[in-house]
Amino acid sequence: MIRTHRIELPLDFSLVWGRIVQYTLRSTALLWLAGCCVSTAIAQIEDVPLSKLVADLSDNKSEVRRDAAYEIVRRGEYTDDVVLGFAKTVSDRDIQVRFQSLLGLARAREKAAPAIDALIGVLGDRDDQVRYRAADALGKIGPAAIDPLLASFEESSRDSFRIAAAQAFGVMKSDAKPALDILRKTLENASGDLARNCAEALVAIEPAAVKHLIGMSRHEEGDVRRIAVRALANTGAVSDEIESVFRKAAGDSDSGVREATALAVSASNLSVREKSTLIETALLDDVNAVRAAAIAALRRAKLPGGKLARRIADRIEDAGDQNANSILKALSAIGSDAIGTLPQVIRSAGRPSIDKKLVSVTIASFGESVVPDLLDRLDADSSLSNIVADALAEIGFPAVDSLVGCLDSESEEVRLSAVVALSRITPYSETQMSAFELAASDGSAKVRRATMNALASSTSMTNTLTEKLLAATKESNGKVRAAAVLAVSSLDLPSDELKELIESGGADPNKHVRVATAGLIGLLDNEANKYQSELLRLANDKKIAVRVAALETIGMLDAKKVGDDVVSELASRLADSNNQVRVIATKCIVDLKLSDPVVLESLEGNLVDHEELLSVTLEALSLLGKKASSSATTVANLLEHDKASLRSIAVKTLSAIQPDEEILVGHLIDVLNDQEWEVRRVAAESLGNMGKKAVDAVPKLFLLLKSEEDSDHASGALREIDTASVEALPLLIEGLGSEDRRTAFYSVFLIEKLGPSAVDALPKLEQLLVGEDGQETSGFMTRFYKQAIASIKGEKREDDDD
Amino acid sequence: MSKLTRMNVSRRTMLRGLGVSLALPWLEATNKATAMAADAASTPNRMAFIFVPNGVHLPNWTPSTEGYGYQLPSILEPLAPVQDNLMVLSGLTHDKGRANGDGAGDHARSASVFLTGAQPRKTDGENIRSGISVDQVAAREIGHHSKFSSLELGVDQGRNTGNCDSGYSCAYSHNISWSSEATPVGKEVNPRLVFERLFAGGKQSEVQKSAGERLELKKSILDYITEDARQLQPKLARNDSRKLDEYFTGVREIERRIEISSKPSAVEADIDYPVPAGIPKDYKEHLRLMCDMMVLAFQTDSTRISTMMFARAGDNKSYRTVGVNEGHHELSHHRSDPEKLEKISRINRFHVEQLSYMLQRMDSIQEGDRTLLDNSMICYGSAISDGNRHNNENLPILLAGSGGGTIDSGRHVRYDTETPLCNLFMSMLDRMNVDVPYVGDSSGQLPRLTLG
Repeated sequence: MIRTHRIELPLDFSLVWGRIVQYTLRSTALLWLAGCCVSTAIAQIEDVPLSKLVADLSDNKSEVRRDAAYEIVRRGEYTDDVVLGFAKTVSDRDIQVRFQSLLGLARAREKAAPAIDALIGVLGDRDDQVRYRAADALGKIGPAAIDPLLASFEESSRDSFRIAAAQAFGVMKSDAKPALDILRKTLENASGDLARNCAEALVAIEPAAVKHLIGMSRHEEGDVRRIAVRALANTGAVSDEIESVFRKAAGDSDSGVREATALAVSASNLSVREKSTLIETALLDDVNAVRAAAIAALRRAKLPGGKLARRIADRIEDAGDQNANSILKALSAIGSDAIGTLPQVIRSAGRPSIDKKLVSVTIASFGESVVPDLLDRLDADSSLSNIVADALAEIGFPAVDSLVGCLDSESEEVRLSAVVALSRITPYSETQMSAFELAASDGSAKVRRATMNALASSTSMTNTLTEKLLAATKESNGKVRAAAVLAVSSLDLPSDELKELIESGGADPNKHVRVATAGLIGLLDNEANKYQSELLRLANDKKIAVRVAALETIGMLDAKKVGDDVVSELASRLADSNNQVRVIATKCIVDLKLSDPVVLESLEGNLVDHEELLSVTLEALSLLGKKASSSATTVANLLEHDKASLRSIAVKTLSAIQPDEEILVGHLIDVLNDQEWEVRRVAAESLGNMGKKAVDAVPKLFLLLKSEEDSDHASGALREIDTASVEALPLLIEGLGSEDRRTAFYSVFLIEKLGPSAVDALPKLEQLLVGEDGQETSGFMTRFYKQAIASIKGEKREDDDD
Repeated sequence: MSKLTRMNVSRRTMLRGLGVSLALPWLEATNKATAMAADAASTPNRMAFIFVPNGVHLPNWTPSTEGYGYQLPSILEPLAPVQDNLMVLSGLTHDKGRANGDGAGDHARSASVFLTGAQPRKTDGENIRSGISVDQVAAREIGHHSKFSSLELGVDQGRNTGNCDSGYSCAYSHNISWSSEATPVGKEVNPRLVFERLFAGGKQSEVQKSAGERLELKKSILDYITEDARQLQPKLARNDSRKLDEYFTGVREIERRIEISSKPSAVEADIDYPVPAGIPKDYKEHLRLMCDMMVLAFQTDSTRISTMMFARAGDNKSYRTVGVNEGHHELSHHRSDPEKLEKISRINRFHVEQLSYMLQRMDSIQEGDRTLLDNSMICYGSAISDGNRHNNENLPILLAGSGGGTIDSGRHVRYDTETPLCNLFMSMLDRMNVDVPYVGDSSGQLPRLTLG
C-alpha cells in the first residue's frame, strides 16, 4: 500500500504530536530516519497506477482517500473508472475528498456524464460550497446533463436546489436552450435569489433575446430589471420600444436599475442625444452610485463632449452640492472638449460645499491650452490664486513657464501661489530652480518662506540658491529663518559652517527657529550625535514645542554614542512639568533602549494615572529588568487597573522586573483569573517563559485546558513548564481519561514527569491501558500510558537508547 | 558600450557601465520601436499580488454601496487618490483555506492558499504539499519576456522548516509563491539586494566590483552609466528627455533612501539575529522601499509578475507608529472588543496606506495614454476575512489597475458567496495572455470585471 506515513491523530492534536515527538524521539538519528521514510513515501505516490488510486477512493481511511483524490485531480486523467469513483465520493464523509471529487468532475467536463445523477443528488446539499461545485460540474458536463437536470428542477420545490440548477444552466450557456421555458416560467413568480439566478441564467443562455429582455425589464424584482437593462444595452439593439425602456429605467424606483441604465449608455447603440439625456438625468440623481456610474459611462462612451459639457455645466449653479461635484467630475471626464465651461467651473469654486481640489483637477483636465485663459482670470481676480495654483500644479510641467511668469505679478497672492505650485512639480527642472532663485529674494516674507519650504525637498542645489538659502537663515523674519534652517538639510555644508548655523539657530530668540534647529539635527543622520550638547540645551528650553522637538530628535540618535549627560537630561525631562514632554522623554528611553538606573527614580514617579504616560513608562521599566525591582509593588498594583491593555503591559513589565520568582508566580496565577482573555494569555505566556520555576501554576493552568478560550495558551505554558509537583497529582489523576482531549493528554504527560512519586496514578493508568475486552488498547494515548507507567515504575523508556 | 539607434530606441536598450545595466522606462521612442516589432504589445500588462495577514475589520473595509461612486470606508480612505483605478471585490471565497477536517492552523493555511487555491497538507515535516501559485503559473508561461520571470518580495525573513501554526510547517506561513506543489519560492526582503539584482549587468566580477565600489565610495549607480546616458539624451524628444530625467531622479532617490535606511543603528546591537546590510529597521520605510522596488521592476519591464508579503501569516508585530502597542495577531482575536477593533482598523489602514503609496507612484508613471497603474493588475488582500472568526469567505480583496484598459475600475462588486477567489486569478491570467485550464480550485473566469 502506497501512502504517506501519517499518524492517525485526533483533531487538534498535531501540535501536541509535534511536541511529543521532540520529547520522545530524542535521537536526531531517528528523526532523520523518520524524515527519510516520509520523503520516500511522498515520492512514491506519483508512481502509483491510476487504477490503484481509484481503488484507494474506497479505502476506509480518510487520509488514503484524500491522497488518492488529490493525486487523481493533479494528474488530470479522467477515465470512466475515475469518474465512477468520484461519483461515489461526491458524498464522501470527508469534506476534502468530497470537494476534490467535485473539482475533478468539473475538470473532466463532458467526460463526467456518468456522474450526472450523483451530482444532481448533491445539488441540494446543505453546504454552499458543495452546491456551487456540483452546479459548476453539471454545467461543464453540458447537454448530457440537461434532461435529468430539467426533470429534477421541475420536481424540486426547494429554492436552494433550483438556484443551483439555474446556475448550472447558466454555465452551459446556449447549450441550455431547452431550459429556457422552465426558467422563464419560474422567473415569472420568483423573487429574491431565485429570481436573480433565473434571470442571470436566461441572459447567459440567450443574451440577445430582446423581446424577453424587454419583458424582464418590467419584472417586480429590481435585480431582474437591472440584469435586463444591462443585457439589453449589450445587445446593441435600438428601437423606440428599447429607448422607452431605458427612459423608464432611468427613473426606476430602484437605484441599482438607474445605475445600470447610466452604465448602459456606454454599451448601447442609442443616439448621442438619447445618451446625453440619460447622462444628464443620472448626474442629477440623488444617489451617488448612479451619478458615479454616469461619469464612468461618460469616460467609456467617448461622446462628442462640447455640447453635453455646456448643457451640464449650466446645471451646476442650480444643482445640489453633491450633484454639482458630480457634474465637475463629469466635465473632468470629458476633458479638453469641456474647456468652454471654464467660467462655470471657476464660479462653482465660490460655493462653500464644492471640493476645491476637484475644481483644480477639473480645470487641469482641460489641458495646457487652458493656461493663458486661467492666468488672465487670475490677473483680474487675485482671490482665485489658490485654485489657479492648484490647477497649474495639476497640469504639471507644461505649466512651469506660465508659473514662472507669475513671479513678476504685483499680487503677493499670485506670486505665493506660483511658488507653491512650482514646489509641487517634481523633480525640479532648471527653469524651476531659476524661479526659486528669484523668489528667494521676493519682497514678501510669505513668498520667501514658501521658497525655503520648496528648497527643503530639493535633491540638487545651484550655487546661487545655496547662497540665498544661507542668507535666509539670518534674515529678519523668524518664520523665514526657520524654514531656511530646515532647508539646510538639503545642502552638503562643511561641518564648521553647519556647527555655527546650529549654534546660532539653537540660540535664536524665535521659537520656530529653535524647533527647526532641533529638526535639522534630526535630519543629519550619523552627524546628529555630534550635536548632543545643543539638543540638551533645546530639551531644556522654556517653550514646550522646542523641548518636544529636541526630545524627538534625541530619540533618533545612535544609542551607542549617547553620552551620560543625555541620559541625565532625559531623567530630568521625565519629571517635566508638562505631560507631553514626559511621554516623549519616556519614548526616547524606550527608543534608545536605555537601561541606566539613573532614569529609574523618575520613571517610578510617572507611574501615575495618565494612560499614555503609564503605558510608555511600563515599557521603559521592562527595559531596566531586575534593576527596576523597586517598582515591582507599584507595578503589581496595576494588575488591577481598569484598562485591560494596561494590565497586559503590567504583566509583561512585572515579569521582567520582579526578582522574587515565587512572588511573581503568585501574581501571575492570580492574573489567570483576569476577566480579559488577552491579559490571561500574556500571564500564561510569562509563566511558560519561567519554565520549571512556574511549577506552582500547573494546577491552575491544567484547569484552564478545558476552557475554550484559554486552552491554547494554557497548554503552551504547560509544555514549557514541563513538570508538575506532587500536590497536583490528585488533579492529574482526575484528568486521566477525560473526555476533554487536552486534559486527558496533559494529565498523563505530567504524571510521567513526576515519575515514581506518582504511584497513586498507577491503577487508573493500568485500567486505561486495558480495554473493556481485557486486551491492551491501541489508540493514540496507549503509548503515553505505557510511558507514564514505565516512568512511575522507574523503568527505562523505550526510546532512551535511541 | 551599447550602440543606440537613432530616434527609435528599443525597450531592451540598456544603459551600461561597469557591472551596471540600467533598463529604460517606457518612452515614446521605445514605444515606436516596440510597435514596429510584431512580437509583443507595446505596453505590457503587469500583475502583482500583495498579502496581508490576520484578516481585516470588515465593517470598516466593505463599502456600503455597490457599483461606482461608493464611499470609501475608513480603512480604505487612503486610497481616495486612486479610487477610480480600484475595485473592491467582496464575497470571494478561498474554500481551501478552511479547515475541511484538518483542525487548527488557519493562519498557515491562509498564506499557503492565498495564491494557490489548494488545501495544504497538514504537516510540519518535509512532506509539504500545497499547489502551484498563480504568479508562478504566469511566470512559467510569459516569464521569458522580461529579465526576471517573477519577483518575490517581503519584509520578514522566511523559514521553511519547523512548526509555525498548530502542526503546519513554517513553509506555509512564510510563503505565498509556490513553483511546484512542494516548493515555496523564497522571497527577497533586502531592498538593496533587489536594487542590485535589478541593475546588475555584465560579468559577475564586474558586478561585485561595482557594488563594492559604490558602497565604499558612496557612488551612485547613475555614475556608471553617464556615458551611455549622454549618448542617448540627444536622440530623445523633449518629453522623453524629461521622462528620462524623472526616471534617473527617481532611481537616485530610492538609492539614497536605501543608503539612509540601512545605516547601522542602535537597535541593531540589541537584536539577537543578524540583520543583513540593506534591510531598513523601520517597518514602514522597509515596506515602502520594497514597494518602490516592485514599481521600478515594472517600470523598467524587468519583470511583469511580482508578489509581496506585507507580513507573514499570523504575524504578531506591534504598530507603534500608529499607536498600537499590542501584537497584530493578538488583536485579531478581538472578540468584538471595540478598543481592539479600532486598533485592528488602524493596522489595516496602515497597510492600505502603504498600498496607496505604491499605487500612486504607479499612477504617476506615464506610459503613452495610460499610466503604469492602468497597465497593471495589483491584487491586494488576505485569505482570512475576520481575524477573530478565521473565516475564509467574503475575503477582503482589492484589485487596483485596469489591466491595460480591460477592467472597468472604480467599482465595488459583491459576488455571490462561495465564488472562488481563484476565478479572479483566472481572469487576471487571461489578461496576461496566459491560457491555462484552471488555477487551484477555480471554476472559470470571474464575471463583472468589465461592464460589457
